[in-house]
Amino acid sequence: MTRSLTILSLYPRQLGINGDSGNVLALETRARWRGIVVTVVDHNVGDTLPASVDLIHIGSGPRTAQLAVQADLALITPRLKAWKDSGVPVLAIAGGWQLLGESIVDEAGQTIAAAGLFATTATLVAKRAVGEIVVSTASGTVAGFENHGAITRLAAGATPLGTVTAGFGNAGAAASAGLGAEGVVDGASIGTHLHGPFLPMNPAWADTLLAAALVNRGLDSELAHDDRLAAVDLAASNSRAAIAKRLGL
Amino acid sequence: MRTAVAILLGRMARWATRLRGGGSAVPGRVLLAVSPKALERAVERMPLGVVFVSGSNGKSTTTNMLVAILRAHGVDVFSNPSGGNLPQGIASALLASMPLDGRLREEIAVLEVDEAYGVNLSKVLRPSSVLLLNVQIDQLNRFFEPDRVVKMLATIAGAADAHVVVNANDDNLVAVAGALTGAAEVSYFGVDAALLSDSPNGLANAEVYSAKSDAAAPEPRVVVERLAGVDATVSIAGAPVDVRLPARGLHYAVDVAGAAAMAERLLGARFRPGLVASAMLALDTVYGRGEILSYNGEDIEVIMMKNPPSLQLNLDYLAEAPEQLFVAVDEGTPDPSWMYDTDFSHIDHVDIVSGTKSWQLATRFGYGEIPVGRVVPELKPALEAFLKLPKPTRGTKTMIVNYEQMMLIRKMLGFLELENAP
Repeated sequence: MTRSLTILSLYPRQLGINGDSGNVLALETRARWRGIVVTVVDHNVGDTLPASVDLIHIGSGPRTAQLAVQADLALITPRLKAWKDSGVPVLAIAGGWQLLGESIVDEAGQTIAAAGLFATTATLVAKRAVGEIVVSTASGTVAGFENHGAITRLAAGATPLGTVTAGFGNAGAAASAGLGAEGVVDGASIGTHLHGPFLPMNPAWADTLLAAALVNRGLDSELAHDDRLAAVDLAASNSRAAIAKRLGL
Repeated sequence: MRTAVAILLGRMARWATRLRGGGSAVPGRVLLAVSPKALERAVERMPLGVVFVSGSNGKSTTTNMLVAILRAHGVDVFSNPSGGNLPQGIASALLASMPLDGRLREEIAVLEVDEAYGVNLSKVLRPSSVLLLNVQIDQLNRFFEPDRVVKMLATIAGAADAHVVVNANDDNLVAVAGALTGAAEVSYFGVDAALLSDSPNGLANAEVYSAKSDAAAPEPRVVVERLAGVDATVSIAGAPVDVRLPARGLHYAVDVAGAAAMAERLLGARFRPGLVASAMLALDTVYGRGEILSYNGEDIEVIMMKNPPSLQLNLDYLAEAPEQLFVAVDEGTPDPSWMYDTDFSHIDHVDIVSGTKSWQLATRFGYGEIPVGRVVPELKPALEAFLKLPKPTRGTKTMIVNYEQMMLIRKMLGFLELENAP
């Protein structure tokens, strides 16, 4: 039986200045190489959502881009929430994650309600957290590049994606030395600051998301490996090792 | 007196750093430390004033072109060498030609300025005219987001009181120009609509996220009408001029249009469209932009991977997929994530990938299903392996590299040349 998945890519025009489209490319390519038929649906401001989706991606963007999509996001939030609650994995990166959190507190101290898909709050600060980062997670060590200006707090009981080994993470540029948290995991869904992009650089998480999407659709979640996957996974593994080495790990 | 002392000290520093073969910013720093007003004083009596050239991409190339066009008209021009667009670099350049009274004798200063440093430089050097090229996704690790660059360029443009010349195809800049309230006269340059829509990825200018203004689209005085390889036709205030570009790509034609538009405004009745063509023919290629290196009698085309838009346009205007391709990126590009937004359909394989970011590049090419021959993170063996490849049957060996790798490669090629000398 042919396995098919639909990936919903939210606001790729506005929330796509950090190469986060690479996450969608990694999901699509890794699924296609396993013989899974993938449809990627871009949702931009004013578009109509498809009837059903299996994976949702939202990338990062500047404050002005967040403001540009906010009204449309408010319109589609009930559908997004329903999908996430029914087990559709959501991957949200940095600015996109902020939009899907509970709220954003801007530099003036004003609280803006966000979509509420993740139990997290982002407080915008002037000092940016910029640089390579290594995080220890349940699916192994992940690496990437962070470039954000927020302190992100998780609600009591929420689970971080992992523990920062080197870099800033949720605590932002004010992070003191010590093991801080990075990202959030909620069921099959993930919020993280990592670019690189996240999934091409950390393919174990790409396969975790794909498997969750397949299970949720009632499909066989077997994800076979072949030479093409071995080649990109080796390149990704060496990329992570190079970052860890640069950070003195 | 203080000025003369500062200049002499600066010149001594310049002489000392040259002996050492060191960087060019130190003498400028000495000058600025001893005489903070030196920059201001140097340019304040120039008859045609000071022109700033700024934007995300094409600053060096366009400055070079504008200087060449003005010189072709017999104008005596002071300019900063390409890439030396920070305050110390500009001060160092001033030292080289500054008389002891501290006042430049040239008629005009044409300065390439960094977007961020340009804000303060505009207060000191008070440019009478400003040429704004584009706002593109660039150096996010430094600028964070394009909007900050828009604000910087708006401040720089606000300093002008004679001419502000703006890219009509850049929505961010059109908005900046529309909001100017000073005495400067605003004019535009751009690309013919049909030609622009033929460009595979347009001009890659940053999107305007906020509501677009409903003001009528600006009417450019200088328009790129035709492009075929390195030959372009630019219409300047209605007069068509055929020009030879320094390298392939619509972005180079746009740079010519910007330079010609500013020259036409500055020179007024003295301006001769035909001199744009002759100036372009005599132009030296700006260091490392669309450059051909020569090694053992073989040409190697170098494409700079400066930032997303310049890489995209350089790729879009490749004559064909290079038969032999070398790609190298290091920490000069702290986060190459943006390569996932680059359309690599114009290349069909990469022979060798190098640099500290080589495995990240290999990952990107893997997902683009672009075969990679070898990954050799260390530059020297990578370069040697690439140079050992037999001469391609068509075209030239091609390199896509970031600025820092480019500088290392130039050094190494010189060194290898010596090693291989008979």
